[in-house]
Amino acid sequence: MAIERSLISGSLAMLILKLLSEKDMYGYEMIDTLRSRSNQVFELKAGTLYPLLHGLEEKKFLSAYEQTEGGKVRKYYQITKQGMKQLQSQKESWNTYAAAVSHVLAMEGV
Amino acid sequence: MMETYIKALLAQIRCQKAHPMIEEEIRTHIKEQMLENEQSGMDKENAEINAVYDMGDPIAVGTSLDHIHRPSISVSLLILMAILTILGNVIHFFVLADATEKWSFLRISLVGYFLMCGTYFLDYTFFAKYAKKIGVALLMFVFFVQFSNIAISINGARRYVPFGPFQISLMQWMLLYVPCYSAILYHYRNTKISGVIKAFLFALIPTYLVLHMSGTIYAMIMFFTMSMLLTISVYKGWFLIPKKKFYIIYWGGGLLAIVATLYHIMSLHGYQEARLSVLLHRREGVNYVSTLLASLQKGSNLFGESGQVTNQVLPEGGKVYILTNLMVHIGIIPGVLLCLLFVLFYVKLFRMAIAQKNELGMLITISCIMLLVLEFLLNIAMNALNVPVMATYLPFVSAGNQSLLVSYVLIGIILSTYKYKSVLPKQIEIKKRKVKVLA
Repeated sequence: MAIERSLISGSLAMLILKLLSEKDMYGYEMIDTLRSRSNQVFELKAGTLYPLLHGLEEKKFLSAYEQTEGGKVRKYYQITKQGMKQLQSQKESWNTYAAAVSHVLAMEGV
Repeated sequence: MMETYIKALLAQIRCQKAHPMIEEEIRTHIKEQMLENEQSGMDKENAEINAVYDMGDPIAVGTSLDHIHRPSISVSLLILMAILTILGNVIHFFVLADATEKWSFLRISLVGYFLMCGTYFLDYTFFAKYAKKIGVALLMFVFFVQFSNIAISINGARRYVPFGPFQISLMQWMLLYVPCYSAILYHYRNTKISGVIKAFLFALIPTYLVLHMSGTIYAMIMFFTMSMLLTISVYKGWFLIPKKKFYIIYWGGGLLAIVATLYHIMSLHGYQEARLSVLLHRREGVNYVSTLLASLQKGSNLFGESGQVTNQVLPEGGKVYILTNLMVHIGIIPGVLLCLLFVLFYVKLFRMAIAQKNELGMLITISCIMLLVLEFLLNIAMNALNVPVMATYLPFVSAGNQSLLVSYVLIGIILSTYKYKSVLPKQIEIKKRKVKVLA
């Protein structure tokens, strides 16, 4: 089922922070993980991901480091303390929003 | 196709310095996607086409990245420096009796402000590439000047070099070696104990040269700052050595050994021995300036003029002891408030250092801040806490043409490193790679 883009774009930062709160990842790994965890709903393009990652790094929600694996140098991202706080705040906002939407959708015509 | 995509993307990013970091990340991603596509059965050509298609519009991606990776300017620091410049001039016009000195301070502070703005445009990564050569050239120049007849000798101290109508204070401008030392440390990244020893020598030699100019306090400030920079670089993992061992050996034992050795090597002039004796034993009646400062502070009011005379009784008309002068003429509380303003100023500078992603930029920023903070602390200690008199100045407030200019240049260096805070990655390549040509 196609999901409206505006629904996805607003919560992408939160989803990325959530993934990184579990473990450090590089860009390609994030796209792959997000796809499988969302049952193919979120097909994130790399061109959307990298500006998002760099923006989050600029705001000090993430930090980056390089690691060599099997001859390849990959840039890994990790969440910072500020990033964890931001994730917590965004999760609370999302839960409030989602509950309100669900409540309205559940109401029969008044 | 991949190269065309990357070229189109990078063309949107105006700051060239950000290109290598972004190019590497995008290229790595496309190659990973290509590999997966090939593993799922595509041929090489289609694997590349699909991988590039999955990236999205290069113009849109490049434009988004351009918004993030652009040079920064700390407008708040420029405004703060303008305020400190005005404040310094207000203090001089209010406190000093000598009209010529006020106008001299105004001229130099304006020149300094513009010098600071000019330094912003310098590219520290360019100078970092040649840091070792610059450092060696500077040390050789100072060594040559010291041990030849070029430097002007005053009471045995060879610290001024004639330059046309001016006398350049080697001691003041040597402080700029310290930010250069940060870049020298960066050259020794990923080396072992031999790198640490070489880095240490790059700190020891300028310290000796400044000591030879009879600039004991400046030598101490420089050596302490460079020791801290070396320690930070070890902590950051720049050197492949056990960190705890370094801390214990360097700070615990080695430092004492070096200082003791230098003390025995240096032959002190008669007046220096007498000064040291006063410093250590505090003989009554000899250390008159400290006694006078304490008496002036005691006689100052919390607010307002105390009626005490300073310009004729303190050496150099009280210019160096500007804080005591201020407290005598407008009160202790305004003096304390001035110190608090400087504390907030230095906290802001430290936050700018921490904001740096690039480790070299961060270390250079810290080196400049430490030089200013140490001068500030020593001057406060001398003025307000009755610590024995020494050659210090209150940055941006005390009279002293060349010390004022050097202070502005240090802030200019901080602005220059801050410029690339959103542009450069954590580590950058500053060494030229040696390419072996195989026969």
